[in-house]
Amino acid sequence: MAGIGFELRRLISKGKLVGIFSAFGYSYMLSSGPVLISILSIIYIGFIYYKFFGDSIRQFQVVITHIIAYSLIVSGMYQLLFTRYVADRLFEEDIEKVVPNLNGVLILTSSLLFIFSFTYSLIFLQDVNFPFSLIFVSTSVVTGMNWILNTLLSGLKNYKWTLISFTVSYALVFILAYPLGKLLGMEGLILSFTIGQSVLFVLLYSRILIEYSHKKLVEFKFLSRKKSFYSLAFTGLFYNLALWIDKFVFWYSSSTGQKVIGPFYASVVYDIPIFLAYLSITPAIAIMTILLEGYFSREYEEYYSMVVEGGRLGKLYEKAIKLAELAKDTVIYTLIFQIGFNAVIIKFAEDLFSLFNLPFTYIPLFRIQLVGTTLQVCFVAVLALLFYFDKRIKAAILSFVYFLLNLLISILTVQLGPYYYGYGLAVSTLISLILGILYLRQFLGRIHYETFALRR
Amino acid sequence: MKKADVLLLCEGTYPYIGGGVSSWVHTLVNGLKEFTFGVIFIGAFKEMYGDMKYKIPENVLFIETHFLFEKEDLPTPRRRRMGDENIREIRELVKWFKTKDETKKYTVERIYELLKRVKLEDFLYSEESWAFITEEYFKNADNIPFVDYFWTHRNMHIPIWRVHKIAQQVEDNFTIIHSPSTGYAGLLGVFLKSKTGKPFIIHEHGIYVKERKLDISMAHWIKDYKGLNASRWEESYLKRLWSNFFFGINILVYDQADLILSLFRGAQRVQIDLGAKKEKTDILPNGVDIKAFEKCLLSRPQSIPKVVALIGRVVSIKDVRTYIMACKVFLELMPDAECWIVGEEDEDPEYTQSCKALAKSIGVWDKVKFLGFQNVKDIFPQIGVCALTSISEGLPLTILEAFASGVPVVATDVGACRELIEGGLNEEDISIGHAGIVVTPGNPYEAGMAFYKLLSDERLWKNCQEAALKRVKKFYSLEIFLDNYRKVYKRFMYGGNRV
Repeated sequence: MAGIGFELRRLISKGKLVGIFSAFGYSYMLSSGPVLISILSIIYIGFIYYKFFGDSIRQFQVVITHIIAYSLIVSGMYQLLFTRYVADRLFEEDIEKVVPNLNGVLILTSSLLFIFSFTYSLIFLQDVNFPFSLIFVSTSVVTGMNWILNTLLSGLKNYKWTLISFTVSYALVFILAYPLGKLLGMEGLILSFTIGQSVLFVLLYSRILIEYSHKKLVEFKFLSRKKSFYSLAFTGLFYNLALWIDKFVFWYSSSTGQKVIGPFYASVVYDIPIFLAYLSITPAIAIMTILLEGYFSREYEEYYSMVVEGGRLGKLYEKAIKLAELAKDTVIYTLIFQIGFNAVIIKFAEDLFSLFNLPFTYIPLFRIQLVGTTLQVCFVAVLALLFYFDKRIKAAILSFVYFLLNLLISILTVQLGPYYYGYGLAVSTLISLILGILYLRQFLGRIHYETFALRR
Repeated sequence: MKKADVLLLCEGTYPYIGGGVSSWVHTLVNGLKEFTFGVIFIGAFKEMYGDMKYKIPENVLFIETHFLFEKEDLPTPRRRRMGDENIREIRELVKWFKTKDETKKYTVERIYELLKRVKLEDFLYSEESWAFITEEYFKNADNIPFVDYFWTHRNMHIPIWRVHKIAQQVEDNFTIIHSPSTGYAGLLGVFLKSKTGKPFIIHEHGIYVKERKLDISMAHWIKDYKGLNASRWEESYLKRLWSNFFFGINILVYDQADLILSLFRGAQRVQIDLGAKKEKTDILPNGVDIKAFEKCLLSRPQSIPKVVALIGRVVSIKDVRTYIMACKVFLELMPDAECWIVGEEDEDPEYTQSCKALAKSIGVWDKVKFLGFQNVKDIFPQIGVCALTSISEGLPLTILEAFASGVPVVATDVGACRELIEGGLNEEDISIGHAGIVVTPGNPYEAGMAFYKLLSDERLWKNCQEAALKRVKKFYSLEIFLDNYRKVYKRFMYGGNRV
């Protein structure tokens, strides 16, 4: 028979949607929980041990904050990239790829952090004693690896273990800080942190080894162009830079920052209220997590399975409207909830400040920083939604814009004077958030078009 | 590249796939050495085709191959717009295809130009295209799974742009465009004609649209909604979408072709019914190399062998199951006879299996023999009746070969079978008489009785043999076939485009 009729059969099966995107975005957002635990622990340790150690505890806090910042930024490049790689492999049920590639990413991250912190020591830590440099380098490396492990475990939905591990480790830091601090001074305090991080590393890493079988030891497949999305490295880097850049601006501006020890600067004006502002948004993070994971992701999965299982377009439209509403609700409810909470906090701001022994002059700055951090949670939610819809390039652009705005506006506010402090974070987050929402709106309006037509 | 007299457009056939149309093409190019040919082969996926199945004669100057469904070739998905003007024209065109309103008719040249502006990526990814497709879905088919609708629609139309692209690439180094089918190859012919203005000949071996309809209605692979109302639909929507699509192409092809040939009168009638202008149509039957079968005739035994044989691939379209049941009827009456099935069995192993199981279960396993692929020239001298129980046929070469070998035929009333057996080309043909018996498709009793009738009545058998030999020599010899084609080609090479 002339023609190619029977060949069309293959075509139909070829044309089907091949699987759905593996969602991994929210795990990244969830991993910010442990980051929060880390920073809060440092604040608490400082608060409680201040009367025993005086200035060294402040030096300890500043050095550790820098280590956390650098390790987050450097490891940030691989957190998303790697987690997505693992998510895809798990989707393909290729479980044996997890451990070798984890080792690969750990080697890569620790090398990068080693090069970074070692160079940093050579340039800036010449005047400081050698043991300090050693502790600085090793702590940076271990902490950076822990961020990777943290993101991976959150991606694998192993929240409980992660939470326990972080709590145990920081409790250990807290316990060790006193004797080591008494014995060795500031270096002893940092050493307690190093030990805590090492224990954390063992706890997290062993968990993954136990759960995932493997044949090979090390692999760098997560770097292959075919298997990975490089835009995620870009997003991870600039997202973390954006989160820290306003702090750096305030630390290293002559009018707002002070040298604490060696190259490590801090900003008394900016730091303390911003830490309180981050402390205050814990409820928003919890709410956002529940909304995203409990409600949105279910609807999301329903939409895509409806697509694949042959839903009528009319029904798909209805489903997509629900999906869009839930996306909107996730951002709006998080915001509203936190605004309510903020109202309470601001009402009792004076009590809160006296509790922490802080001067009331920080309160106006605290308020605007609270606006900034609140919006930041919403921004993280938007970013997570973009990841859900596999909009990697848009997420990368948005992170970069956010970084740039936060840098520029923060510098500007420092120039403008104390009344404007804090607006850098708030305004840049607001703009980025709006941009993200506008894009999401647009996308959700044409979700079917993107799902069906923009595919081959 | 040298200029070819005739550009042959082969869809899924010559020279990569064996079968009726391919051997027809091969015979043609080998027989007409005074003409030069070029071949454009259109396939589905590259990996489906191996090496060439034929030894290409020297007068075939070039062979180009193209594939319509290679997925990797699709452009990268990116949001885009095709522009208001373009989508307006596309909508008009689609409307015209649907209503066939003669007053708003689109010229093929206009379609050819439109497709230069509206690119494949516009069809695939543009917002306007998406809006149009969903609109149509809601209007016509909103109760079937959208994913199926969308992909059916997409896969159906992609080849239009592929074919258009091929037409743009093909060099203008030929004199006549000749396609042995309508369909995608026919569409290519249409585009080539609007590009070059060269004469365009169609020679249909089956009726493409009808074959496709059969193909499509037999296809389980067009996933379809089987809901409450589905039974009311004569054909379900997606299947109709396909057949309407090919039907639309057919209209263009018939409209654009200068000569529309068919193999037999029945096919010509269908062409006219489907919109071919009567004065453009003509019949040009196949021919068989009578000399090559002379030996088969001469080596026949004196007595008539009590053997019936179905010669053809074991596939459902040949309805081998009905043949086996007919054998049961026949063998009850003539227990010392045998029934053979001669043909490839691996095309549809499941069907072959079911045929064998049937033969076992009705107790004819020892009498019905599955011989697999054989040289037919060895088979013909050993058999008394050649049987054909197909549910669809064009002009089966097997019948001509059986005639040339002096074997009467029992065949179902499909395609050219009745015309071949009873005569139908003209008065002279009819007066030659019957060369076998025509039976109803899917009726084992009638077929079985026909076998019996022929093999139990020697006088009838002899008459049939005589008619068979006379008819094949008079109307269906290779020389006549080639001569007809010689005339057709010459007419278009040196004369006007009209018949």
